[in-house]
Amino acid sequence: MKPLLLTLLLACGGESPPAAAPAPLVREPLDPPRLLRRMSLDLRGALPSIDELDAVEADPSQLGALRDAMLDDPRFEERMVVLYQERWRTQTDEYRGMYYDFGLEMTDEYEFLRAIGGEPLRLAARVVASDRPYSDILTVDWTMANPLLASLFPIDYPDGATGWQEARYTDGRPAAGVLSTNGLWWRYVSPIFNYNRARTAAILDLFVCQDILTRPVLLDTALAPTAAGAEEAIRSQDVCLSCHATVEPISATLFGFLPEDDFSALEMTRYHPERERAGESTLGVQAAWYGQPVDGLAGLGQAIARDGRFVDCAVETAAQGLLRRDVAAEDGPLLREAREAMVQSDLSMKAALRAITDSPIYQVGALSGGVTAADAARESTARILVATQLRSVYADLSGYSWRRFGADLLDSDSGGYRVMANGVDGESLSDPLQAPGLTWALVAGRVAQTAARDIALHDLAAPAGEAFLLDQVDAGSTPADPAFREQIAALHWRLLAKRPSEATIDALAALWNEAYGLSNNPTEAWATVLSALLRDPAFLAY
Amino acid sequence: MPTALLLLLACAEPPAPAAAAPVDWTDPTADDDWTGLVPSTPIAPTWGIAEIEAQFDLAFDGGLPTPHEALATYLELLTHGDADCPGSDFNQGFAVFGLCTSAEGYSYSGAAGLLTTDERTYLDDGSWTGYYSTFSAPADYFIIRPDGTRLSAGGTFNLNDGNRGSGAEWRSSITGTWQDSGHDGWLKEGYSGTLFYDGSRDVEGNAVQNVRGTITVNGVSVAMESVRVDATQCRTGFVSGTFYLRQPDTSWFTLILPTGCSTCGTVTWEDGSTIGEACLDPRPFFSVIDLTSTPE
Repeated sequence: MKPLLLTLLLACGGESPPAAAPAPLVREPLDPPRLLRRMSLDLRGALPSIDELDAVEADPSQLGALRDAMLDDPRFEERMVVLYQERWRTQTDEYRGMYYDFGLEMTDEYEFLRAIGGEPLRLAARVVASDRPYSDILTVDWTMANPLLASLFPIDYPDGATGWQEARYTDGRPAAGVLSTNGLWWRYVSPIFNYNRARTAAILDLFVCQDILTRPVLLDTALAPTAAGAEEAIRSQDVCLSCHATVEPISATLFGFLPEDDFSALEMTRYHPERERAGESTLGVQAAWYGQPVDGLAGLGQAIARDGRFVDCAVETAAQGLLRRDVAAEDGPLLREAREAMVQSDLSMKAALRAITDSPIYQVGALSGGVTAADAARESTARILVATQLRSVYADLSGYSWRRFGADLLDSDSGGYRVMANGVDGESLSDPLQAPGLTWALVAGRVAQTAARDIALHDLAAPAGEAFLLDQVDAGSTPADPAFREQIAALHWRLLAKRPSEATIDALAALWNEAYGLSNNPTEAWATVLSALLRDPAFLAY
Repeated sequence: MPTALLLLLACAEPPAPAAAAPVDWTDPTADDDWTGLVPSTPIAPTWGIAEIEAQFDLAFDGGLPTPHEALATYLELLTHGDADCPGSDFNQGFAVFGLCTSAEGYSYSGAAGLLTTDERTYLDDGSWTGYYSTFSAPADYFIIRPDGTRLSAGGTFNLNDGNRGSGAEWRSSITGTWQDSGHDGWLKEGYSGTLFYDGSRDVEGNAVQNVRGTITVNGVSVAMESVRVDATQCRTGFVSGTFYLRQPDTSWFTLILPTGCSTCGTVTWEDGSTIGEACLDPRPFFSVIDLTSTPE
């Protein structure tokens, strides 16, 4: 009889039992039309056209070319504004300067708020959309302004122009890209005696992804019982110096933006070159970026742009925007490839976006193989449309804008539903929520209803060729008409990027009949069908 | 235990790990091949002596900013208000959230106020001893005239006059941003800065003025340290002290005027290198030699 141990060894292959490797995680990509839809929503804030869907359905290899075309689409720049808002959060509903400080009326408030907060976002979006080196966001001598912003701030807006344009400040501020915009520093304020330290924390967070405010600090409160004591402790105590040795030299470059009065709109409107010299003398340090001396704010912008972490942070920011979640260690391959693509292309953010959207991590639609609980929690196989995406999708579909008192209700909070629909307000919500909560569902449902009615009203009265969606039927069409079913199928394809089954078409036709029976009005009937599609999970998810 | 069961147990796969295996991930901050794509561009002086002198002239062309002009302009504009707009003369100020327009067509917006302290004792000859001061509340307002010109204010000023019988003394300052498109000189161009004055005048009328602070006027930024205007020395008096002038790329020249009867001195760059000899026009400084402001 063989010894038991020998029996076991032979049975298991004659060697000691190897640790079996866990089954690999497999990311199943979305089908090509739905992946095209995801890319279009992420890069253009809009649904793909019927022609684009047909093309990729017939030949999935066209996906890459269509994606590349999206990066050159005029809507891409506007989409970048939204993505940067989610990370930089400069578009809030409240600044210390108010619309009435500039003689504006309450009805101007929304445009006032979005002009101010949009300035740095639009500068970044312009750099990305025009495919300039990404470092330009911290080094260029221009900003972005519209006529309203140019009327508020000392900006030389181009004669005869309209809309957002590249423009220059006239108050002597240094060339430091977004670091020289009022919009950034209206959002990230520093009380006078904070000496720009809060703003330095923002710089570190936004541009090198270092959140110093979350560092644990074992502070001996006895060291700093008074403001003067705190200032002394900052300069002498190790526990303080671990952060402040970095913070103070950066803060010293920002004194041109430090107001004499925390709430004076006039003080916050202008850059104050004469205060630059006060930075080093007040803080008792030489202006520097992580130990490297810099020449003022312009030098700071250049130093950050030279820091390898700047590119890493740029890639991380873009990845978070497209994956719709925080990045994790498992995203390393994606981040590394995107970073490499960016560095190899003279810091082209478009190259990074191509790499991200080419990644299986981005394209995932389902998980299989060895799926762990952590995998399931991390991977975003489906994303939901948050407020600002709903806004842009409807605007692109039909020009529909849900407004009241001059404000866009999907892009404001004081009178709108931005946060309720999972958008970022810059204050209370810092990341776009991906949980389809109750308020999100209410807002998404309500805007679907009102937009659907608006579209139906327009389309059934529109001349041939001018309908937004209902281009195969008119007010006299009935379910008995062949074009009726074709119309429903086209709507389903356009809005959901899915071919409907016959049963689905039957169900939607039945819904039309029921609505028509109640209202005797084809507009109401089509609005009901449209509303159902616009509330379909396949529309609201992507 | 049956052998078959033993084999099953022995050959079974271990349980799946609770988390995914870590991926190959390099800390990007540890990259040692990063050469940087933005070159460092050290700043060099681009202005010569002629340009430096012209820039100083431009900065002082409209006169030295004083709180006295800001106060006088404000008080004059306040006289065009009425009981409804700005609605109150409490502390010689107002608080209007939005905009109101008086019967005379002057519009007021924001918050303004003054605090005056009068501790003077009058003598038989009409002169006085003691102390008189005017402080502004933090200004955050604008006033628009019927012709559209506007005073915009964000900051503070204060004026202090004292007299101990042996002559007058004063201290004053103006900080923040002030601009009046309906005015002349520095106030029309707009002022941003922090400027402090202190001075004295003896019973014979000889005045000395000390000035320090930083200003931006006419797009030129100048800082002043230990600047002294002395009307009692030399034939016409002298100006001495240290002046700094900002080059638009945010670096600064230094001009030191030594004590003496000249208003010329050596200009140096940030690295200590000498640019040359520059002269200042002293007239703007002598025009503010006496900053007493107390009403009779």
